This record gives sequence, C-alpha cells and structure tokens, in this order.
Amino acid sequence: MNNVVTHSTGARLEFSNVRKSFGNTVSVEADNLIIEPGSLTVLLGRSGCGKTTLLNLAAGLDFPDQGSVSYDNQVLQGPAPATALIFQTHNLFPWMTAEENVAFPLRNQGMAKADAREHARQYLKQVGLESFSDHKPSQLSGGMRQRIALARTIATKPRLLLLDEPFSALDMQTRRMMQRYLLRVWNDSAATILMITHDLHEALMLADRIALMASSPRGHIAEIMDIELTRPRNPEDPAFRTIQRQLDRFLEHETLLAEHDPSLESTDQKNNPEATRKQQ
Amino acid sequence: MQPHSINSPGHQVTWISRFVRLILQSSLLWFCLAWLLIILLWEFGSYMEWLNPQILPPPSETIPYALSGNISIGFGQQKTGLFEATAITLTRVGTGMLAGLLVSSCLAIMVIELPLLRRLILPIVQSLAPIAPVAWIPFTIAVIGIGSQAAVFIVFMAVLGTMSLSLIAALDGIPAEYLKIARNLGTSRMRMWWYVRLPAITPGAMTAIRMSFFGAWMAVLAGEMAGINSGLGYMIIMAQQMYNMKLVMIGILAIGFIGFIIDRLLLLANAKLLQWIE
Repeated sequence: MNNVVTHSTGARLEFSNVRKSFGNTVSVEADNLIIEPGSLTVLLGRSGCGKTTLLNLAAGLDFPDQGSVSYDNQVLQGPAPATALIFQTHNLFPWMTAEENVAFPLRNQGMAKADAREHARQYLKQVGLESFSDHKPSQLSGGMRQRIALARTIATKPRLLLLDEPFSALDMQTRRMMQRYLLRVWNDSAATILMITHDLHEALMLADRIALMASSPRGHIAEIMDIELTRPRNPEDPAFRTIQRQLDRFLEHETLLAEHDPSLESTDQKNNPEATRKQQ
Repeated sequence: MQPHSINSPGHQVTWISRFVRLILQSSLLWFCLAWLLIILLWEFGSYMEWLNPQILPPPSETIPYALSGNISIGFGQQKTGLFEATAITLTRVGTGMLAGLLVSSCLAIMVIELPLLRRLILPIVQSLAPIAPVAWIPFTIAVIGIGSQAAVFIVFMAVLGTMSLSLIAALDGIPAEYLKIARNLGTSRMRMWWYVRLPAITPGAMTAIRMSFFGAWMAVLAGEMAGINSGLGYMIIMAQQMYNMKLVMIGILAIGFIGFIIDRLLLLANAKLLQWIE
C-alpha cells in the first residue's frame, strides 16, 4: 500500500466533561479523554458501558448533553470531517458492487463517475481485491467485505478512523490478517484510530493506549493504560502476557459486578438512540 | 469403480432422474397440473350431475365459449367484452396503485424528514389501513359517481394506508449502520434517499406492492360489481343478470388468472431487483 495518499497528521480528539443520557439515566460520561494525533486507542469494556456512544460522539453523529467533543480543538457541531467509520457488519451497501461501494464517497465529493470508478479500482487493488470489483457483498466472504470497507476508508483519506468491533464477526485467521491490514493503513496514513473491541489479544496487538471502560454506576472510563510494547508485538512476550492478565482481571471484575447488579446488564436500547426514538 | 459409459443404464437413470427433477421443480408445470385437476373435477361434477349445468356450465361448454372470440355482453352503449373490460379494470388498478404509491411515498418521506409530522401522519395512516377497501365503495359512488374516477379512488384508498405503513416501517427498519456510514461518507440528503434509503427499502416496498395489489384488485372488482358501470366486475354482474353463467365463470377465471400472472410478474421484478440479498 505504498501509494496510499497520506496526511501529515491524524486528528486530535478531546472529550471534555461529556455526559450523554438516553431517557432519564446517564448512559456514559467521559471527563477528560484526549486522543492524540496519530495514536491508536482502543476502548475496552463489557457490552453496554457506552463504548459505541463515545464512538458516535467522536464521529459527530450524536452530541453530548453536557460537555463537548473537540476535533482539532474545534467543538464538533456535526459529522466530524475526514473521519471514517467501520462497524462489525453492514459496512458495505449490499445493493452496490465492491467498486461502487468504494466509489460512493468519491462521487459524494463530486468526482466524475468514470474517475471515481477508476480510483475505486486502484483502492481495491491496494487491498488485493481488484478482480472482485464487480462482485456484490453477498458474493464475498466476511474478510473480503471488511477489506473493501478498508479500501473505501483509504479512499476517503481519513484523519480519524473509528472502528466499532470491526473484526469480531471474522474467524481467527482472517481477524489476524485484518489486524495486519489495519496496522499498514495506520502506518501509511498516520491517521488517528479509535477502536472498540472485546478481544484482549486484539487490543494488545494493536493499541498504543487502552481506555478501560466500566459500567458502574454509569458508563465511564475507569483507567487509561499506555501500552509500550515494541512492534511487531509478540503474544508470547512475558510483558504482553502480564498486561493481558491485568486486563482480564479488570473485565472479570466488571462481569462479577454485572452479575450482582441486574441494572448493569447490557441492553441494546440503552445505548441506541434510534431504537429509543422509534419506540417513542 | 468404473465410471458409467454415456450409454450405460446407470447414466440413463441419472439423466432421466435429473430431467424428472427439473420438470417437478417447474412452477409452470404445477400451475398447469393444479388447473387441470380443477377442470377435471368440475367436468366430473357436472357429468355426475352434482353441479347444476344451468348455474355452473361444465368446462366442455365454457372453454369453447371462451375460445370463440365473441365474449361480450349487453347491448348498445352498455355492451362490454372480456378484453375491453379487463383492460379497463387493469388501467384502473394501475392508475390507483401508482397514485397510492406516489402519495404514500411522499407521506413516508415526510415522516422521516420531519419528525413532528410523524406524530400527525402516523395516526392518520394507522386509522386508514384497517378500513376494508369495500367499505369505501358506497362513499365513493355517492361522492364521485360511477365512472372510472370512482374505481381509481377506491383502489387509491385501498392501498394508501397499508402502503404508507409498510414504507414507513421499511424506512424505520433500515440498519442504523447504513445511515451512519452514509452520513459519515458525506452523502447529501438527495443522494441519501436515492442511493441508500431507496435501495435499502426495496425488499419491504416490493412486498408492500404485492400485498397492496391483491387488495386493490379485489377492491376494484367489488366496486365494479357494486355500481361502477364498466370493467371486469361490471361484466360479471351483467352476465349474471342476463343469466350468461358461462361468461360469469370466464370472468371469475380471468380474475384469478390475471391476478396470478401479475403476482408472478411482481415476483420476477422482485427477484431481479433484489439479487443483492443474501
């Protein structure tokens, strides 16, 4: 991926005294979380602790009830600029071919159709899928779809990349391959990455920093760990294993808390404003 | 084990079983078989005098009459033929459904774009949807009369409520990720509707159109039978009044056959449009 067009720096994100509620209860708070330019930060925590809410706030797709989210020191008032999102599923529009999916944001920017398609083919080539350009997502494997989603991400030249459990639906081998792809994109683009995962191993393989999120008494960032392991990382490294055990203990503690307090049981609706709106 | 030669009995069995499987999987074959069974039972019932041939003429009389090419009833201005009546009814259904689809699409767009209108429009369409299409017939004839406009209005009212609700439900059911990603990719409002929402709701919309078609088809025929002075329903009522029971049966069969063909066409369009579904 040497010909990826790069930006000089990734974006800087800052959450200041953020409170976000759904209904009458505070769902998540983030007092002072700074995501440095070009860093790869992982949000780690059990389901329902507000990770996706924080990601939506970072994308400017939702707004805090209190406090602010700043992008390069500008408070976000709408969708964050030069930002790309990748989810676990539904990343690609299934009615479009791989090429049309990648060309879509380029067309949104006003690029001519033929040019957008030509560029899309180039980006597909970068993820090794140029021969699948006329395939619909339903004709492709989960790993291929996520690679196309990454190709589209590259096409938008993001300064901020937000990933919501992007590889959790993939098998172990494909997940490892996608992690390597992601690291290459990160190295080549210098984008800032904020990623949600439940996978401790994945978090440790990728992250510069891990923000541990707890759900009691409400979703909040309990601890931030700087991961100073050298890259490429080796899961057999004793330091790697030590941190993994620490993280495991934290998640185990969170799970025990949830078992004794049913109100902490995760619900999709708790952190899903769209579902709440439709019910109303 | 040696492979079968091209002319070996084993090869023939495989070829024949494949052919039989292919034939058995053909929906056309089953359609023809089903109708053949009905016709045979009908003929047998008449032959055994279980059915009164004055009321239900046997297929041996009805089919030649249908094929004679002279299927019409009435005199002077009231005279109507099967093909003319069918064309009139189909035009009414098409026009009414198109108008219903247009208006319900506009309502659905307003509900999504203007949250305040959701609270206003939803109760209206939720109240309209359960009204049986035939319930509109007396009101329509009293207000609009017995012309084509009345039939089109009945079709329109028959589809408006259910189609609006279906479209709104389909729009609400679009996975949030598609919309988030589209917004994140800088999609304008117009492109969001054209390239994201419209294709995403196509499965739901196609089902709504198919279901609405049945409602509309039944509503317009009921309207034509209840007083509207042309169309397939009118032809059947006139044939019944003039005691031409062969034509009544042909009319009834035409209703079923045309309904079946249009449903198949809609299914074909569905399959063509929704190739992307896993």
